[in-house]
Amino acid sequence: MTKSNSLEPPKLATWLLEQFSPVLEAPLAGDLIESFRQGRSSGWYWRQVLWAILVAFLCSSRKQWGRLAYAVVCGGLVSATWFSMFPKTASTYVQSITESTGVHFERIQVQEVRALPGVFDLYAKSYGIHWPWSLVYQVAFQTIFQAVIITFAVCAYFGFARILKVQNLPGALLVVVVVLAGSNLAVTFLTVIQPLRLAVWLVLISTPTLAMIIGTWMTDPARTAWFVSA
Amino acid sequence: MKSLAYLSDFELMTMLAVLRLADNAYGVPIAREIEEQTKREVKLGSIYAALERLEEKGFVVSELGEPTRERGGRAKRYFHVTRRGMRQIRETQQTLIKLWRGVPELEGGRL
Repeated sequence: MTKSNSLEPPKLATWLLEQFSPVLEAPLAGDLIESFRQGRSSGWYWRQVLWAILVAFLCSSRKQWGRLAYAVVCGGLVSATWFSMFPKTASTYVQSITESTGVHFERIQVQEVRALPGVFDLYAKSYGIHWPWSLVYQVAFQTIFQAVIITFAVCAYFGFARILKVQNLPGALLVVVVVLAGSNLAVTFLTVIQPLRLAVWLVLISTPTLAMIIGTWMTDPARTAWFVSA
Repeated sequence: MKSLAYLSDFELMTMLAVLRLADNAYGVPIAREIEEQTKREVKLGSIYAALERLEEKGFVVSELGEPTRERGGRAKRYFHVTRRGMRQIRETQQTLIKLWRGVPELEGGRL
């Protein structure tokens, strides 16, 4: 029997379901595929997958509230570490754009480096690079900086509890890096828009926490035990 | 006075759908059954979450079927209501009927 493409559900959605909810995925993904082949649309399939991921996360967090609290605290610490290095982060971004493009922005302030000067020196190398490579450098630097701390925190949590499943790490870290990089890139562009300053700061502060929550959830071996009763 | 483990309306609907479907109670027909009665789109993830809670409470049990090609090689998970679950449904039904009786606005099916 020849398979028609229209009978195949969106691959990315199925992949996401497998990554976020590997055990739930088996019967649920089967139900979704069966319904899709009975005539449901791709939009329906995506809605169902995203909702299932959200539900799986909430069910998992209900049982693992200690893990969630740890993720929130560590995410806050990642933000605090970043800001302690760049007390005037927004100004840093604006100055960087001014130097690269020649476009002048008002209210540029001098940076005050308070912590980790060695790491800041590495970051500051981007000021000598032309746009857009300076932007790529900065986003990559910030993403790697946050991802390294988050990886360490995730490994520490599950390592101390002696339940670290190394095979869960690559998928979790891939999603963490995508979330961090996407957010850092968006923030870099949005920083120059004055009315959005507050929103940008909220994203800056909350992104490491969100990434940490996702990282711990996807690494948690208890996640793969969710809904296993057979 | 005995303590009652309350069922949410969605949990009750899910259990009733499982009962109506008998030996064919897995995700797709359960969702279809609820959708036909409520005329609303039902999320399969919500059904599985409700069934997981009900299984924890001992109101339903589940078993895995064989993987099939039309489901991309995934197995079905069949659900059955337990005796405890049946008792819970009856208690909920009795409680709702008692509450209904004392409300004149709901008499005769009028709004």
